[in-house]
Amino acid sequence: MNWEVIIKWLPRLAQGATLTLELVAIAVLAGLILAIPLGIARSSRHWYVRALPYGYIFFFRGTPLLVQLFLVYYGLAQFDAIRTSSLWPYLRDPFWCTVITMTLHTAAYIAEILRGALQAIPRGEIEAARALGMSRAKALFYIMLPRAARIGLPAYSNEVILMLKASALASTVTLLELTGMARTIIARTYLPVEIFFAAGLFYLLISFLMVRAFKLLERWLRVDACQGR
Amino acid sequence: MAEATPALEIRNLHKRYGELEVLKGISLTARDGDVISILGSSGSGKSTLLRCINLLESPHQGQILVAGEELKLKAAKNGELIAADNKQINRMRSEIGFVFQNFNLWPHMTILDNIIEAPRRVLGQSKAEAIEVAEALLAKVGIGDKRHAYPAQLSGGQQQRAAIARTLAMQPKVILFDEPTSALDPEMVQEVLNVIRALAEEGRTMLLVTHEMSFARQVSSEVVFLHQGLVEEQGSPQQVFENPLSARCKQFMSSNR
Repeated sequence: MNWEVIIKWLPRLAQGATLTLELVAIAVLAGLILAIPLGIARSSRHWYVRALPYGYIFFFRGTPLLVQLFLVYYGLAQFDAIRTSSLWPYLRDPFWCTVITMTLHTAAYIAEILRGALQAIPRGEIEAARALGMSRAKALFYIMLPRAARIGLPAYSNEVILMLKASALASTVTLLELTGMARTIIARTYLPVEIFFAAGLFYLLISFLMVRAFKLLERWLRVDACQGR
Repeated sequence: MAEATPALEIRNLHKRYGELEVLKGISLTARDGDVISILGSSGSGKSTLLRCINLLESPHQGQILVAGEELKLKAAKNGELIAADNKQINRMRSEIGFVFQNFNLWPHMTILDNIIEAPRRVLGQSKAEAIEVAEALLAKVGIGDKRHAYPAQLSGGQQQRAAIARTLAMQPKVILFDEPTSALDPEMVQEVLNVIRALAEEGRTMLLVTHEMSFARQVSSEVVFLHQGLVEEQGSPQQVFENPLSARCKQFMSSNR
């Protein structure tokens, strides 16, 4: 193992890791915001409200992220309307293409997590809210969503870690995030073992910190105390 | 002299689950200050009756009036009656307190937050106002020191008392108790019954589904015995407990001494 090479390239890898973090952070936060209405609609009593998020989730869970990324990155440029639109400066940029694709992709998964969490709330707790005179909307907003957040948080943290690793796909559309940066360095140094080893350590470090952060959040929200009743 | 408007009136309530008819036309009137105990063997429809009153279950037929105001109902596609006016049912539910067998406190909130949530969101009370009321109620049910605890940290009896305080915070006109002590360990039953007894003594209108026979006999102004979805026997506690007219009721009373 050539440690000198690893140390030499650490700053560049750290640069790549920063871009990875940016991609993942934007995707899982924007995905969460998008997933809240999707997940609520997905657990609706009315089939016509459920249908749209169902179709969305069916598509984004049923196809690989890589295919979705290629469709957005290579596919959108086929349409004149998009090339002439005011959004083109963003849609031609690999960073935004990746962010958009990852967001849409993870939103489907988070919406399913939220639906599961909403449906896992003990019925009696919802009945208690309604029996006190809360409307459906008030019960959802003040009781069910805060409760579902705690039920769904462990699954959400899992999804964030999965997105961290899925972000490596961004290297296929020219982005120099952690994996992309590692491949570029390898093309110069011809030392794949050392560089991928170092990149792997970065991924481990990031996911370790994420797991710790979610543990703290779970403790703060008292997730454990709410389970198993 | 005209009768005063009853606090709660139920007329000819029917409910079925598929083919099974659980309530076959029940009528019940609670005047202000009445404490009506509803007794009966399991499956007689006691809890269903209580849950139909605030539409936690949908009846198939019948009328429900709270303080003279009739709950507007309409038939759904499956034949059940559902609220015709969402605003009205939410307001009427806030006037009908409901205490569950399993307490149904929200486990992610402190006891105090459990109690102030509905007064703030439904009655529009300010947080300070709601806290003041809540603390007085917690002291009243004897768990003033638990206001910052979470439900899981409380015993069953304490949780049920917190749930009663949560209901009282809405200043209900009528309170429905659905087997409030059935999920409790025996040593905790009494502390909850004492709270309910105190409420009876301050003249609250209550309907109480219970298996605590001696308690029902002590606090009730009226006892209703349900059998197979019908009122089989009805009257003063003394009459129903000591001189039941129907054979079913006699049998029930003698096996539940």
